[in-house]
This record gives sequence, C-alpha cells and structure tokens, in this order.
Amino acid sequence: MTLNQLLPGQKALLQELPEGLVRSQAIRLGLMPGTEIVCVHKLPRGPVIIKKNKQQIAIGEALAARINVKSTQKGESKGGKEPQKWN
Amino acid sequence: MEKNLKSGTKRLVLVGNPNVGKSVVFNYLTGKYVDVSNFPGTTVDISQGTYKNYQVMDTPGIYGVSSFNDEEKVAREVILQADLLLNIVDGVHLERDLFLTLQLAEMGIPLVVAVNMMDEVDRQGIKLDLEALEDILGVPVVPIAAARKTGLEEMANSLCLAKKGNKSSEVKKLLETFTLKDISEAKLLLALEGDFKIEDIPNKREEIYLLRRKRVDTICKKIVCYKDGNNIFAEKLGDKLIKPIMGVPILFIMLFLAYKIIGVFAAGTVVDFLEGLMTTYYEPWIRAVVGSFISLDSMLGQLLVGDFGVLTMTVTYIVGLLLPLVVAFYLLLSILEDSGYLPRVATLLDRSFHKVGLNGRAVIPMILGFGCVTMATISTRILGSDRERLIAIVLLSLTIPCSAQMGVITAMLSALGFGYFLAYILIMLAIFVLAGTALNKLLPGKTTDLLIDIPPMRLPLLKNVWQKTWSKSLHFLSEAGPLFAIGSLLIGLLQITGVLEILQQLAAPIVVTWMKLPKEAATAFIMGIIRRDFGAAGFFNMALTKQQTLVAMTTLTLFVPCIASIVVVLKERGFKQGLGVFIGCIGIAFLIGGIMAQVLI
Repeated sequence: MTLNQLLPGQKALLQELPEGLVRSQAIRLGLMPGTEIVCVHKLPRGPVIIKKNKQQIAIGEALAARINVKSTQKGESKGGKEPQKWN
Repeated sequence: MEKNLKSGTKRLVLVGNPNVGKSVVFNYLTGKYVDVSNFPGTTVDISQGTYKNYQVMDTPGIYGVSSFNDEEKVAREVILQADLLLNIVDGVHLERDLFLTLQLAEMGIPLVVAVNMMDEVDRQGIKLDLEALEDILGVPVVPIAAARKTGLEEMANSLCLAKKGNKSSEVKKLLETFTLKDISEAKLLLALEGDFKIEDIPNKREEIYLLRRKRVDTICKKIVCYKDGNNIFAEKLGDKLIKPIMGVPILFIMLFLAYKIIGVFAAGTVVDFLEGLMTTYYEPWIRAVVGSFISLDSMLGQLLVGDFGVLTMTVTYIVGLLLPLVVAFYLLLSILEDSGYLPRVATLLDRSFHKVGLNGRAVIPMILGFGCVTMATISTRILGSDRERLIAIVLLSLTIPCSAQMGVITAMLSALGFGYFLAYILIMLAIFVLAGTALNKLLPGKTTDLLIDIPPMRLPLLKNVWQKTWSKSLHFLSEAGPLFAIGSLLIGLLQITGVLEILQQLAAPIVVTWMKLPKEAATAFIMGIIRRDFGAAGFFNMALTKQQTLVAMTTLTLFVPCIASIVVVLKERGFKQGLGVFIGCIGIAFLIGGIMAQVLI
C-alpha cells in the first residue's frame, strides 16, 4: 500500500521512496526504507502528517501516493476519533 | 562577506535547523551590535557580530548543508569560510537535528555542539546521554536552555575546545579514496554529495545520506530514551491547528486579527498620524530649505520637492506609510514564524494551493502580499521551482491588494453595505482561482510536492521577535527605499514632460465608454501606479454610484501594483516576463472592469 492510504493512528514501515532530489530531502528529514512511522492525520485529499518518534512531517498527497509502505498495525476505522496515543 | 579579519580573530559560524533557538544564542554572544546584511544575489539575511576575539556569523535555519534552496546555498558558503562552527540542536528533536551535526562533523571544521531546549527535554521526561554523544562525535557537547539563559556561559567557554569531529569509517574511506591536493575536506565531502563542483569526483549523495541517516538512528537509539504517553498542551494544540475542523476557523480568526492590526490599526490610525506629521511639518520645511537654493518651479525643484518629489513624496511615503506597515507586518510574521504556526497553515492549505499550481509553502508570500506586494514578490524565492515563482508573482501582482490599498478599499466598500464588500471578495477570489488554474494548465512542468518538517508549537520570545522585526524592517526599507525613489523620479519626469497628461487622455475614452466611469478615474488609475492607495483615494472625491464604486475598486486591485513592485518584478523575472506581467495585469484589469460595467451599470 502507499503512504496516503494509511489511517490515523496506523503504524507502518516505509519501503520505497521515489527517486531524485525528493529522496535526498526525505532521507535528510529522517525518512528512508525501513523507518517506522505513525500516520497522525490525513487531510481530506490533502497532505498526510506522519510522526517518527517525536518528529512530525507533512507530505503532500501526490508524493505520499508514490511512497510505498507496509502497515504493521491497523488504524482506527473512519469513526473520526482522536488518533490513539503513540510513542 | 569576504571581509578581512583582524589578526587573531576567528570566524565563528552558528549553524542549526530552523526554530532551534539559534538567534537567542547569537544575541547572547554578540549583544546589541549586530550587523544584518543581505547575502549577495539572494534575499537571505546574514547577521554578524563580535564576541571576544570571534567574528560571529549567523546562518539561516537548514536541515543539511547542500544546495536545495537559497538558504542552504548561503549557509554552505558561510560554513565553508568558518574557522569553527557552533551547531545548535533541539534536544527534543535530536533525530532530525543530528543529520546536520554529523555532516558538520564529517566536514572536518572544528565544532562545538550545543544541545538546546534542555528544559523542554526534562519536562517531557526525555533522557539524553550527552556524554555518550560527546564520545561518539568527538567534539564538546554542551546542554543549554537558551530561552532561560542556562548553560550559555559554559557553552561560550567551551568554544576554545572546538575539535574536528569523528567520521564514520565509510565516509573516512570515501574521503581518503578521492583525496585531492588544495581541496579542503569540507569541499571534498560536499563534492561527493553533489553540492560542489570538482572534476572527476562522483556524486555519491544518496549513498552518503543513507549512511549518515542510519548512523543518526543508531546514535539516537543509544543516547535517547523517551518517556511514554506524554502528550503536552503545545503538542495537542499543534495537532488541532493542522486539522480542518479546528484549523480553518482558527486560520480565519488569525487572518481577521492580522487585518485588524495591520489593515486597521497600522494602515489606518498609525499611518494617518505619521503622514499628518510629515505633510504638516516635514514637507513645508524641506520645501523651504530647497527653495532657498533653487526655484521651486524649476525642473530640478519639481523633481526634488514637487508633488512627486524625491524629497517630499518619497520620504513621506517611506516614513509615513511604508515604515509602520512593514514593521507591523514583520512583527506579526515573526510571531507566526517563531511559534511554529506557519508550517501548519502551509499543510492545511496545501490542497487548495495545488489547484492554482502552488504548494502549501506559497502561503508565506501570499500572506506577505496583504502587507506589501513588493515585499511578497521578493519572498517568492523560497518556492520550490521557477514555475511556482512565476505563478505566485502573477497572482500577487494581479489579485492581492496590499495593506495600503486595502485600507481605502474597505473604507469605500463598507460604506456601500456588506453585500458589495462580499461581492468584491468573491470576485477577487474567483479571479485568483481562474488565473492560477489557467497558469497551472498553460505553463509546462508540475507543481513540486510538499515535504516539510512540522516543528513543535512554541511561545515566541518577545525580545527575539522584536529584534527580528526591527532588523528585517530596516533591511527591507533600505532595499525598497531606493526603488520607490526611482519610481517617483520616473513619474515626476513624466509629469514635467507632459507625458502623464497624454497617458491620462489616452486612457480616458476606455474608462468613460467601456468602464462607464468618470473621466477623472483615468487619473486615479495612473496615480495608483505610483501608490496604490493614492489611486483608491482619488475615487473618494468622485460622485460614484454603488455599482461604479465596485467596478472602480475591482479594476484598481487588478491593475498593476505600485511602481516599486514593478521594478522588483522586472528584476526577478527579467525584462520580457516582467513586462508581460505588467501589460497582462493592465489588460485583465480593464477587461474585467469593463465586463462588470457592461453587466452592472
């Protein structure tokens, strides 16, 4: 699945990042294959906000759709509750 | 930047990620006497000061040393000239910040690391093993809490202990393989990372970045211990601001407050007061002074102290109007910047901006535009691609009324009732969307994607905010001041030579028959080029119907921005594109104004 498909609270491992400058930028920000992240929030047809430990990163929808992830835990259903506590 | 140093003086460069408290440390070290200058060829400001025998230089906040944008290029140049580096990192976000730290350590420039926000680290129950970090990096690591002024003395004292950092074995090997005479390790490393051109050095950026990132993660596992389930207020607030349900209403409240502070208080009350002072005291005085040397009716006299005189109108304009607006604006922007709110707004609005070919980062120039379009046009350089810069500049020139203009427009429209005011906003919004969508479709290429760090929300430090505001305002005025002077000189020449009158007569038939406005409106539009609010003010004294007022205000907003912003657009986009923007705006303004007139009147 891709990063933009994650639900709030869902944990995942990053698998593949698109090539080019954006990959360098992502690595610098701490995102690379194997990084464990939590989806904090997804704006409707907008950016995904993910969290890696204490750090939050916003990723535009089109870019998120090109990042492959492997879900390690189910998120909440679309009930719209607060995302569960992570850490 | 290439200033010669006194012997014994060392160049100390401060480096860090954005929002890590670098400026607090800089202010602590350098005290009051700070020199803010513009890095040649960019809009990036570099602050300089002295501390003991160090010449201290601040750099813009960066996530790594490379050349992804202007800020990074400037930081890279300054870092390469450094004798020693002071890297400030956020103790709460070591995972993010240590990437830069490792890169600096590997560059082989003597380094000291200050871990800031230690108070916050304690509050969040995070445990950091800084001794272990010191061993791994091989450079002094000092805990500080800059906002509370703790640890700063120890930090300053450890500057003399700065050492070259340890390198990972892989990077060491790479550097040894390609080692070259006369090239510093720092430059060689940047060459290997593809950010510095040296012949025969391959680009291994991704490999090195991955190695470094993995090393950061290993280090963090070793030295950082998080406490579970600690969700503090700032974090919760930060999360809320990003979600549309809370974020959008809060954004509107913020915009409303900003409008009240800048559009009403600064652009109204303060400007009226200062301009009054200038026109009643300063202008008669300077006329008398100049009049004692040369005749006021002579050409030179007119150029200096006439209606559009460089010493009369320009000075009144800069001191009476621009100064209060720019100060109010930068004050607000500094607060927004330091609090960590802007990246959240950028995220919130990313999707909407994508429709007009921009990404969320464009929110900064767009907000700035409501303060001063000239200022905003300069700031479009932060955008990711040339295409986005062009779109942003066109949208700014065409649809965004600056605060000076907005003051007059709101006064005139609100007199007509809420309906007209709403109509004006909707028309502007529609044109913004239409023009942006059209450019997005027509221009080749694609919008760059949003990929930004969302820093934690923080209470801005008043002293810092004020210092930032002041230095930025002065810098802007020193840059824009001459442009306004050139502009008014040009208009002054046009007036003296009679060209201004010819232009007004040429425009009059279009204004009267096509836009159904009185013939004096032509004068007001042309005056709007000099000062957008002059134009709007010209309409005050005309007997206009409600419909005519709406047509006039819409056309005026769309019409070319003021002379200073025209100069900046020409400078940024080159003559051809600049002229295109200029003519396009006039064309669209008259077209839309005319269509509205034909329908409404």
